[in-house]
Formats: sequence, C-alpha cells, structure tokens
Amino acid sequence: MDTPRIRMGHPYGQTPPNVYGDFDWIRRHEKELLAQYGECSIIVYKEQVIGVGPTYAAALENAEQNLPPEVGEVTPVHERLRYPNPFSRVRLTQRKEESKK
Amino acid sequence: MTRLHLRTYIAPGAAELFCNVLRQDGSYERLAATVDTGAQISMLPDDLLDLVVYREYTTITIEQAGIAQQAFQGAEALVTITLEDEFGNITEPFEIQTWFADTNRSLVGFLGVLDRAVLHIDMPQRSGWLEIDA
Repeated sequence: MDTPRIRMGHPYGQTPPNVYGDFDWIRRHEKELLAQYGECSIIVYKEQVIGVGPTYAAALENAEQNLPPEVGEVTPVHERLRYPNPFSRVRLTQRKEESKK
Repeated sequence: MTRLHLRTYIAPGAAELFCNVLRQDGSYERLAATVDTGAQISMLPDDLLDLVVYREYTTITIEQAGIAQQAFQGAEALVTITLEDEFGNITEPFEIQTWFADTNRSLVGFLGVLDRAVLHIDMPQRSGWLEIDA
C-alpha cells in the first residue's frame, strides 16, 4: 500500500531511520493524538501527522494530498488510533478449516 | 542468536520492538509490536491481509477471555516477519503463525517467537531485550 510519493514498505534490512523515532513519538503522544483525531488511522513522518483517515488507505491518500509539491519520496509510519480496551485479552474458541489463498 | 533491544513504556506499561511483515511486493511493512507474554500466538491488524504475503489461511473465532458473549471473527495464517530494534539488530526473515483481528495493536506472542527466545525486562531501569534464534 503505497502512493506515488509515500513508501510504507522497505527492503529487508533497510528500515528508514525516521521509523524508530516516529513510532516512539506516537506512543508518547497517543493520548493527545486520540483527543485531537479520535479513533482513526494516522500517517506520521518525522514526528508530524501528515495524513488522517478512517482507514489505512484513506489516511495514505490524505497524506499524499497534504504533501507539498516540492516534497519527494517520504517513508512514514502508520498507526491505528483506538481508545484502550480494558478487555483486550483474547483466546481462540473455534477454528474453521477454510482455504482462502 | 540475535539480541534485540526493547523499548519500555509506563502508564500503560509495555515493551515493544519493531516487527516487519513481508508484503506482496517483496518489501516489508513496518510495525511497532508489543511483547505479550499472555498471548499464545502473535496478532496483527486484519487490514494487513490485503497487503502481506500469507498462506494456510483459516478463519477462526476469538473470544475475549472470560467474556463468552464477546466472540468475534478473525483469521489465522502463516506470515514471514523480521524483528528489529533501533540499533540495527535484525533477525533473518522467519515464518510464524499469527492471528489477524480487528485490532490496532500488533502483539508478539509465544508460538514461534517467545517460545524460542530469552526475554529480559528491567522496568526500574526502563530497559529490556529479547534474544532469539532467528
């Protein structure tokens, strides 16, 4: 899932250096981001939200539109903002044999 | 063995590393994943199913522990991942079984990951590492 100027994937061993700081920035600002944007997908590049949308694809499209024309390729990260669920522990109850691919 | 530095957080407490999942175009989707010693299997957001390479797909029903009425549909499949830290330590690509569910959090659980790793977390020092044969 990429756009003409946004690369969300990278080759093995070539993680863009901004990725580590951007994920850390999101984790440290999660409450503020949730308060500002609500539950949604955000695209973050160099500690700035560059795209927002109800889905990953929509947030990417928004980020592409928000990029200034002079900006070339960027390598942001994606985060799905959700309010914490107090009952987040899950377990398997049923497995249905089905081949999709 | 690859030793990966964990990022530790408080309020809420968590230990995280970076998990890259092989995509259909041959590149890796980057995720921050929480190390979850209560998870029997790793879990990823289900919107990644359109993006990543997977096989042996099976639909499953998952329930939130202790709340039988809160069952929801998910999927189980094999995906290829690498684990990485911010200091450039990275595993070779390896395949794990994972659940895909309607969740915003990526979790690294036991099957295929923690069951072959040494985990050390020192919360007072805000440090930790995961050493894995991969």
